[in-house]
Amino acid sequence: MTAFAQLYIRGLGTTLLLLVTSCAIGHALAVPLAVAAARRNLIARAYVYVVRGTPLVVQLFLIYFGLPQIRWIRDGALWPLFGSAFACAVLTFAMNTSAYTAALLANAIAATNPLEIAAARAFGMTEVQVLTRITLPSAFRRALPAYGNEVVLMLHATAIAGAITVFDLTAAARSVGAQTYAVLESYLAAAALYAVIVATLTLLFRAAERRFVQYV
Amino acid sequence: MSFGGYGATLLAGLGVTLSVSFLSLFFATILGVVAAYGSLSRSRAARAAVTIYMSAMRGVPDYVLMLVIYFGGQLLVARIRTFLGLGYADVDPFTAAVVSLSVVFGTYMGEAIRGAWLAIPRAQLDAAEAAGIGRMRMLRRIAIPQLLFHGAGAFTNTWLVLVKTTPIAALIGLEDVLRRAQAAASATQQPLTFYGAVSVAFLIVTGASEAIARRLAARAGAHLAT
Repeated sequence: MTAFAQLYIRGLGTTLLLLVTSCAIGHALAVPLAVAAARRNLIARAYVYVVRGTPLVVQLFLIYFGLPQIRWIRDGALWPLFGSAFACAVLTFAMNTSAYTAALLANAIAATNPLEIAAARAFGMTEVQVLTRITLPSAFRRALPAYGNEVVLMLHATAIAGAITVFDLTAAARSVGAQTYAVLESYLAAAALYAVIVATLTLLFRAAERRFVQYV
Repeated sequence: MSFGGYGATLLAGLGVTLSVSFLSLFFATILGVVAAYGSLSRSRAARAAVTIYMSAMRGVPDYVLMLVIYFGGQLLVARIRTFLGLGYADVDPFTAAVVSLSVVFGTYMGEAIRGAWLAIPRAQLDAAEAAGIGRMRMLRRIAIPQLLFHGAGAFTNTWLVLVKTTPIAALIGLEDVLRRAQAAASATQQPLTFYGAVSVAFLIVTGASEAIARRLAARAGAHLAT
């Protein structure tokens, strides 16, 4: 029994690590992407369109199984990265969430009150100052509810990491099911743990919204 | 378009994928109507049931739900068939995929339909009632045309997410486009080619869906003053 509990805890830890690293990297990428997309930069828009237009599981397979087919990647200095299933999962999820987050941030940027920007310019702020002091702070606040939703969807998405041998919560449930023959129960236990994470995330984002969104 | 002789099987796989998506869209829409009706109803129990349904779907990843329905479905069907004295039968991945995707996207549809219903000006419905127009006629002539118009955007988005979620069914063994690409990739040692082809296929499907949705929306909105 304790051995199974340990498997679940290990899987849970991997799932949370996947979620946190993917969202951190993805969000960091999303900010410049959103600014570029809001300014109608073609490359940023094409990236967002292609990533949002293809299924996540296909992206995962493309990166984990597909990239090693390219010789210079297999022989390159970054091979330790692309050879690891966990790193490939983080890379895929980060790319995926960066495109979705960029799209919702770009929407929030487009919804900025033009008078605020005009006022900032009249004040003599530079383009960069307008961006970092006026546009982005208010866009982050407006995007917060949608971003909370995106993080929950990202948690759902991490459940497929087991397909490329990452031992996440779902893979732990599969392993317990294979050992006990109680397949349904072992997946239901994982489902309950996912629900607890979602409930916690929802509470955290609600608290953040109460704290930040009141100024919009 | 031959892909080393795998073109035909990939296309057939895409057919399987799209069949699952379309069937799930159909059942999800029905579930969505029921959920929206429940969430707008005066009955407390109905509203609570919809809330529980929606939070359960938000709490559990779609893939985990698919596994639960796949393996739970096996047990359920086995029990029912034993009870009826019938032999053993499998729940196939196709059914499990359609059921789980319908249940998951029923919540999205519920939100979409609820939002569209609330966007209809109340005064129109009151006026219809005051004019003695029957409930069915009011629905058919006043409510549904506007539901289609206001719900079109959310409906299209749900469809796009649904199509892109469908290939996770390959992970429970559905012989869809992704699973066939997997087989071709390992036989030819060319994963990049085949997963690249699958990506392009999905880009075409999502791009075409958006184009069709835009044209339909323009037509649906043509006679509506907004």
